[in-house]
Amino acid sequence: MSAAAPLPFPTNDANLARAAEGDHDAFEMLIREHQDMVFSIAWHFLHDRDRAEEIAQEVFLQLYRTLGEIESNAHLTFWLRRVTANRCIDESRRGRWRIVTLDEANDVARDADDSDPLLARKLGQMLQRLPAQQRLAITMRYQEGLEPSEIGAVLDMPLNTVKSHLRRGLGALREWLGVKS
Amino acid sequence: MNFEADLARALERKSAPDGFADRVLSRLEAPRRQTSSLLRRIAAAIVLTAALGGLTAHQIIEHRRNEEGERARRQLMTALHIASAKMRVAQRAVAHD
Repeated sequence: MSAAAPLPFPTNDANLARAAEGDHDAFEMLIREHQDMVFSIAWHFLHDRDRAEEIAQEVFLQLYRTLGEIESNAHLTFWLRRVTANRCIDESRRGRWRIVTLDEANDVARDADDSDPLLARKLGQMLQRLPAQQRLAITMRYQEGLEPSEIGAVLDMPLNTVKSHLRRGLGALREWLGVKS
Repeated sequence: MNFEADLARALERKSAPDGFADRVLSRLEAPRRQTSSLLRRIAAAIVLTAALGGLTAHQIIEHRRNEEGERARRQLMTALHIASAKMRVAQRAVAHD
């Protein structure tokens, strides 16, 4: 499954303003443009399709109630990333997410090698073993392509903390996969 | 093995499930439908209450009318009894004379 092709008419600030005024068509366009990003952050965090969709839906419902506070399309993207991350953290605190056991992760690591076409999928599964903040930092870095300073802004954490989460998270993944740094 | 490239591939964006936007929009409509349904129920309850109230008032009025009619009938009968008794007294007095 890959990300959907971008819409031919990406949302702009005017569309955002129309959505804020209650235009459902404009809001639908906002959803369609950003739904893959929001769903993917939740999916990579939870590795549970149904719950990822539930969180993503709640994020957009919250957005609908908050549209008047969104200043621009760039602000919208930032807001969506931040709120999705916060909801993922809340979800993990409730302890409802599926835990990948040590045995499962070890099985994944044993099976992983250079020629394994499922390596990317296994990496995604192993990500579930990381602490929530490390998982989010890595997701923002590799899914969204954000720089550490941008990750710090989205996750509301100091730059050095972000770097530490990235270093430790990547280190753990490398160790589980038997990859040398 | 390019670890970071593999990680980026593992974490590439996924497509949201089909119909995702429609489901969000339908959840936006749901509270409105619930409100509308609630208003319809309140309106129905008001109409029902008014109808029952009207029926009860009608029955009370009818009951009072019946009571008043019965009271008037009893008063008439009493008056006739009194008049009849007076007539008999008068007849007896005439007969003695």
